[in-house]
Amino acid sequence: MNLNGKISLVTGGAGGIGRAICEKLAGLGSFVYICDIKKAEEVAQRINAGYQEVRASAAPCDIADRAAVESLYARIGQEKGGVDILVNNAAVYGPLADHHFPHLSHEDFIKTIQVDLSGAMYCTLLALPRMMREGWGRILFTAAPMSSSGIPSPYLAGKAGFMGLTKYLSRRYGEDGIFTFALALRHVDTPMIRKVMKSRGHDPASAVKSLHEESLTGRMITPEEIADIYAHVICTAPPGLNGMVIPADGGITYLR
Amino acid sequence: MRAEPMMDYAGKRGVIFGASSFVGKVVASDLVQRGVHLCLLDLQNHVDPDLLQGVQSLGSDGEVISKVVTSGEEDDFIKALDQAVDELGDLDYLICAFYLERGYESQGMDDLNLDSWDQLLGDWVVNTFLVTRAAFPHLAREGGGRIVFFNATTGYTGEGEGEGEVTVEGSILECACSSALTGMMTSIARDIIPEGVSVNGVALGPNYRDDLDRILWATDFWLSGMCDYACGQILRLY
Repeated sequence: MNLNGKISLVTGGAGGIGRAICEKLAGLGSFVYICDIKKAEEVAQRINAGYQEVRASAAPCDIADRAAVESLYARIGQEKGGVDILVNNAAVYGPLADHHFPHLSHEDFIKTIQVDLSGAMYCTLLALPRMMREGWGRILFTAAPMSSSGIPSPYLAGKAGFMGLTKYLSRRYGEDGIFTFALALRHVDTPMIRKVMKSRGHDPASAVKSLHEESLTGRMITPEEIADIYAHVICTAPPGLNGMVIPADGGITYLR
Repeated sequence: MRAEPMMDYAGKRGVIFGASSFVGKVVASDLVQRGVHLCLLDLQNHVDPDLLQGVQSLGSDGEVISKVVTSGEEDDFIKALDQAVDELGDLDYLICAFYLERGYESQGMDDLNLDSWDQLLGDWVVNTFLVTRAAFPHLAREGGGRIVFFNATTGYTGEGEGEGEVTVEGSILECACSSALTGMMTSIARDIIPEGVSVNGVALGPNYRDDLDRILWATDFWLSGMCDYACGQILRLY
């Protein structure tokens, strides 16, 4: 498996899951743009320190901001010609308090869905022309099962929106060599899950222990395992798997 | 022959958001003939000027009023719902039938600009959130309020309009919005069922204009007392 010469853009690339994906893709030879609102430079430096050549570049950007995304793509176009692999991974959970209907404000709904769905749409629409020209592309979405409960409405709207996008893109662009996949995640062992549990009034340590036990595997999936799945799909998935939504939830959704 | 409705609707009160859409008109015409008092609610640039008179002329006992709101204006939605409840007396149903028929014709790749996305997301998904939020206090007042969301099976299949046709360019926006609505509904359902209000959905198939009986049956099913236990579910009309 190698991705030599391929240009990747990973949104939310400096967070727990995103950073693992960036490291993995760079390790396979791809040049990776690390898109995030903060710490992108830190992650890029860490990746580049492990190689003789430059394999990563910070792409500080708020993907909810259309103009910023357009500027980022203009930059990538000038530097590398465009994006071959797009990982739509960025997401915000919304306000940690008052995020349930009907208390969630209009402003918070907009802020959340702009990042979680519009940001991915902007990145995808701007990536497609180059992928079509090249006759090769991979688009991936970090999604969630539609049945996820207790998740704020704009966050789940964004994640569910990825399902429609995955189905459409795979049908429409599969023959152009562009394959699309979504990874439906439940609980992931990241600092974010502790913040969310704390915001719900749970003791983070015992809540995380419960989440580990909730999975049929006895533990939550790690960011590194998610990155492995993405890399495997990007490098090896045959056309027949195009459009697949891959459940990676420890069996919670379908087996319990 | 259309099936008999599952309940007696006489005297119930409902708001139909997106009343000027094809589905909105079909549902409005049906409910008003069953004696439901209705408020036809539309976005400013989506109003069919003949709709109110057309529905009123059906000659039923149901009172019919209309309201217009501006896309994305929260205060407008709250004011319109408050006025509708004042005029109708109360609120039992909210039907979100906004559907991308007017001004959202399928576009080619060259036209797939970011403006189209921003507009559709705002008009369809964000406004559905706003109208649901504005209606909720009224629906919850005495409990038992029911909400129906309409979206499209394209959110599940990725296929565009037209049975058996290859996916049309441009429906990427529809697919994303439609599945986003499903996710939003699932989350809202969980939050509001403790207040006695349910929300369920109907996903329209590719030939929905020829599918009136099933559309009306599905609407009736979610509004009826037959399915009080259902919450956050979608009937897919493939």
